Amino acid sequence: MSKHTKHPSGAALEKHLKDDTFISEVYQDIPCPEPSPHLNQAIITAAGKHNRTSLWWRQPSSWAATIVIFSLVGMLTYHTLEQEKDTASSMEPVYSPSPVTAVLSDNKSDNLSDKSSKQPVSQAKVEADTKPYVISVQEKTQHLSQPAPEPQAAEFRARSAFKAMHKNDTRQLNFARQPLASEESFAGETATEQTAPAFSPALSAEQLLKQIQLLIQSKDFKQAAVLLQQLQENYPQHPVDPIILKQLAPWQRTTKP
Amino acid sequence: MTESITEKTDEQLIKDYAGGSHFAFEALYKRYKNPTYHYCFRQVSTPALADELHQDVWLKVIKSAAQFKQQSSFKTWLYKIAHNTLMDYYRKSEKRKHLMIIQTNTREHHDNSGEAYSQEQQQPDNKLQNKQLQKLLLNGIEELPREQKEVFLLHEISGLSLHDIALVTQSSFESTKSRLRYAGKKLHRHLARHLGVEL
Repeated sequence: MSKHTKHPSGAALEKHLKDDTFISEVYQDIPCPEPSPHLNQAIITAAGKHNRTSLWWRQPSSWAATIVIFSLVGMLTYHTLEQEKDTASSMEPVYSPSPVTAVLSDNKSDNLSDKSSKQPVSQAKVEADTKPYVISVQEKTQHLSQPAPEPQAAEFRARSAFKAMHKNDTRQLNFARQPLASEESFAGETATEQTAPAFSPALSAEQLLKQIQLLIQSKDFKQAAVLLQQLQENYPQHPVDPIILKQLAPWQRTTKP
Repeated sequence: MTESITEKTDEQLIKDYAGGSHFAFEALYKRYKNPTYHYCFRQVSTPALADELHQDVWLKVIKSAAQFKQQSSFKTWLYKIAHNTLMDYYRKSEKRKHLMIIQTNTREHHDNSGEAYSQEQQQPDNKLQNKQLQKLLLNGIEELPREQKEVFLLHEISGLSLHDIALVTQSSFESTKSRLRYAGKKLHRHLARHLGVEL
């Protein structure tokens, strides 16, 4: 800022008045008014006061905010974990080692020990051998935990276990993991093990026929023939597919008493 | 410490002040106390009112320092606060009273300048002194419409660009430009009229 510049006068002033910068130059030469020292001091004091005040409340409030946030996060985590626990416990299947299955397990092991060459089988080997069957049985029986007629479900489970056992000579099944095995199913199981599967007479002709078809698909012709015989005895009027009859004719002859 | 503070930018200083540094505020105030006071003084033309407005402006800066978001420069932000403070003042104060003050001041300035000019005219060398020319200019500024006066003062005092002045006054760039042009023309005419010069 150029202080006290000599400005032109007369003709030169006229020339300068047309110049845009002339006004600006004149204005810049005007001494600036300044605030009083008293006012300056008041403003600076106010600034310091405000800063101290703001710092006083800012720190505890930030602490409080941090504490609140942490407690909220903790509560939320705890609540979520509790909910997850509840959900997991409600979803977990209930395996009740009923006395029936215990007996079945004992019997099975006895029978197997009789039939095999009385060689001791290690626990690891048993588990390794039976693992795929246990999984398949679990998969097959999983849907039966849904509301379904109890006799049918039990029968299906027992039947599945029997089929798995029949396929493999080792016959190592984890019957303790078989849920909801009932007395009737055990009876049927043991009976079919020796001769042929005994099914509930409450089964309809359609159901029997379906099971026969399933057995044929799994190439279990012997049992299929037994079931077919039952079907023909219980429902003599029910039509049977001639293809099934043709397929099971040789087996029927052998199974006939 | 003092050296580092003086080297810091306005934006860094206001940030430091928001963070608790009192020295930062002092440095900032030292930089801008005169321009802001000048701006307020030229707008209201009475020292008492200028003091009040200047204090209001800086108290607002103190209170809202933490809210400065660095979207614009500190200077623009400061003059925006000053502009808003003045607008509030104009709104609050009785229009009539304000006009009376302006008219009185203008009349006084007119009388003084006229007297000075006539005295000057009587001098044998017929030369205008700088002081009298400045007085005439100040009279001319007083007579300017408020918007034009504000734009002119911001342009001369703050050193803000036209774009920033438009931001401060919350008007468009074009209207800011035309206000400044009209203000310059009017001041030229005012000086010419009082100096007896034909443009």
